[in-house]
Amino acid sequence: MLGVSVVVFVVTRLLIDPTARLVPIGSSQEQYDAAQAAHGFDRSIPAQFVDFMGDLVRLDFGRSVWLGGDARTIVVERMPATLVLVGASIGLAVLIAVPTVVIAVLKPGSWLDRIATTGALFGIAVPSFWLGALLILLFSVNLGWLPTSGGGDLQHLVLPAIALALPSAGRLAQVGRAAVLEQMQERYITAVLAKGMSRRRAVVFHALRNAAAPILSILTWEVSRAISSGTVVVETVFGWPGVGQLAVSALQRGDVFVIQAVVFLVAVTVVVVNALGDAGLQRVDPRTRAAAR
Amino acid sequence: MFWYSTTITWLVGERRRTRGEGVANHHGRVRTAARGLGAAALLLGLVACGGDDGGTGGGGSSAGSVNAMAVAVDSTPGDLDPHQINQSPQTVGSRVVWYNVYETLLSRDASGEIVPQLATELPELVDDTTWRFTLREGVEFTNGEPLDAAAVKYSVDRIVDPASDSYLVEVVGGITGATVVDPLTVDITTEAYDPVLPSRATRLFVLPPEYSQQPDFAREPVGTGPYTLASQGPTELVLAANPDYWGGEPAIGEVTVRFVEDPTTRASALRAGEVDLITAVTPDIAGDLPNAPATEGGENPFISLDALNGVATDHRVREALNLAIDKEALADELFGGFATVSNCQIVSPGSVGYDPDLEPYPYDPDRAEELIEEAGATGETVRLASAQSWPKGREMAETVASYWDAVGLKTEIEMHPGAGEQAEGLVKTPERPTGWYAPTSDDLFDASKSIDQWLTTESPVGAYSNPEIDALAAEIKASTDADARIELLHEALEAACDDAAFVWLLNAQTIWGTSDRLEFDPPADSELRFFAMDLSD
Repeated sequence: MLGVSVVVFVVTRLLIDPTARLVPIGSSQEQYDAAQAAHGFDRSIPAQFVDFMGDLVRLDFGRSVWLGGDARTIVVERMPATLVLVGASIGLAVLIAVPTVVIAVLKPGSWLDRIATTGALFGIAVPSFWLGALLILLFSVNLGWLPTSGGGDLQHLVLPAIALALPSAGRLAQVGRAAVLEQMQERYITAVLAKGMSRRRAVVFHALRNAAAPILSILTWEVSRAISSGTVVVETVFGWPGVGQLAVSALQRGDVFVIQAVVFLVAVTVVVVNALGDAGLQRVDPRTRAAAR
Repeated sequence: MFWYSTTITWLVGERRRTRGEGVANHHGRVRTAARGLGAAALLLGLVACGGDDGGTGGGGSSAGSVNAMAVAVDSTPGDLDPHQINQSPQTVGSRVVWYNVYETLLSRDASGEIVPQLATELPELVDDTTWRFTLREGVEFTNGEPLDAAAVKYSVDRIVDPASDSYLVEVVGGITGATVVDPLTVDITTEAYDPVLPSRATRLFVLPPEYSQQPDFAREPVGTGPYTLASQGPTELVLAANPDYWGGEPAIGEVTVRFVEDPTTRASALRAGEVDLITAVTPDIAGDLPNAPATEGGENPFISLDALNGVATDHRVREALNLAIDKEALADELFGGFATVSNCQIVSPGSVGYDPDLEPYPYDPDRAEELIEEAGATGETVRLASAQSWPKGREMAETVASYWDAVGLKTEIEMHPGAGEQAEGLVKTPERPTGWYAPTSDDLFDASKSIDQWLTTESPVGAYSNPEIDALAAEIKASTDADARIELLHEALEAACDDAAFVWLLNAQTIWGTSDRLEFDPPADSELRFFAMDLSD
């Protein structure tokens, strides 16, 4: 977190001129100086850093000029929408990936497997803004089944969740397939197959469960990735009122305070997700627990 | 379906097998937990979202009653305090509230003419620095406060007070305050004679004095206008007609304004019939829409040059930078025909002081190359700054760079994400980029704005110094004769053209998208006034 704080400080105070964002184009030098003094941007860099860290510890990110409110409150208000979107998309991704993996392992080379593998590649390769626009075109404009944009209820959640889920599903399918195939080489699988268990049962009830460790790692990574970057594009395309859309707007307006609030709070969320993921991983694979000690 | 049922069976069976199974226990429970998490997330989505503002999906507005409509605008509103106005195109969401809930002394009709609004007629010039406005009788704010001279005085004082930090600084330019003469008469005073004052009055919103003293008054705006803010959520806001509006009840009873930042999604919303009007349509999308009315000359994209430092101090280089660009091609290809070549001024044809006799620099790359050589600038590096947020900001920068490179220069493009960041470069030091691209909107409809902002030595954002223009600018400010003033404006614009002060590019149209049932006259000042619109059956 210290690293994140330093980076945020450098970007918002040193790489850009924060005072220039606070005063309108065409302001006089007096107005510029006044704004600079009011926010403490005219002090020396170390002094500013101390102020900055002091504010950070109190979770005070400043006041957004553009939106006219406390930056932290603005970001926190939008967080649930993003979390819901990410949660729905990860759930969807898992629902898509698991059957794909099972098919791929049980019937390698079949037409079903080929479709599944190609589908996974497509999911990974296709850019999300393009996919988003395509989904809107098909389901909203042509078929009229779902709204084009907005937020607030389930029908608005469907398309953005799909757009965000497909790349994750693709990656999960790839990793899952490799992990399960690896498990299939293990001796315990040979043993149960020799004892007469069907391949189907062996894959679904044993190999899949033991492949949970790498799958869970990737899942944690996907959630972090979705929260920090995936939602930026998807929320903007679909007008979903989350943190990603806020980040884009704040960047375009150079709203320093909202930017630093977004970066910091998203970083905290990602750390929490990773901690949960690590805890889950230790339960899944006790070997990692021993290594951690 | 088979694999799903298998998985479900496994899920269920797993519960029974978890007793005393050692390590396999953990695997099973974690997978269950992961599934549970996914399911819980979906459930959370259902439950949590149910309570939020019900963003209406397909057809709620257009298919319903005739007097309700929906609009999709390109930005989320920021601060709703109308004295915070920042005329960047990114605050269209806020302006929709300001121009419909609040009112000004004077307003503009669709063709750009100044018309009375809260005043009964155009102001009378009492002396050089005082303009007298007569107010409409019997007008009230929606909270019952009267619209009188005291309210106007309060509002004007608030805007000019430096402590308010008002973004109207550009517009206010020289207004010192207001004085109450009697309840229905108010004087606005200026520093010096200011013929542009009526134009400035179209942007000075009048607030109710008592109500506005509260700190967060802007969240529940109270104005004299034809609409009130009925509700606001993260993805849309709703304006409801004000039945007591002094101008009569609005034809359109309810307007839902949705914030859709992505241009393709906005266009999809119109095509799907979800909205009746969309803003900020780009030329390439215009062809797909049911209707795409446009306002002439809404924006003037141009490149401000640094004539004080670097390679562009030489006027031959500045001339060459103009000659090198095929402006017709830019208008046709880049803007899809929704633009005309600007004739050597960043002033729109409808504005005071527009000079119809000026000619644009032709496309002559050979002559440009010659001039560059003469000036000894062949092979020199030129920095061009632009922003992603401008329409065609990136494409314009890249195209212009290739034209300039073709005549012997080396152009380095500096792309910024937003206008705010790009504006940092507007300093009068060698750090300023050689070329700074932006659309400028002629929002006061008067040529003096372009001169004062960019062409004088004192100008806040220009990097150009020409004693002839400085002298003319002073004369223009002092001129009390409207016709003489226009002559002076023409002279100044001609001087700037001869000296190639900028690289003039285009006069771009502002394009809208409308449904078939909306009766809409594209406004010259690009502000959405729903009172002027209607829906046909």
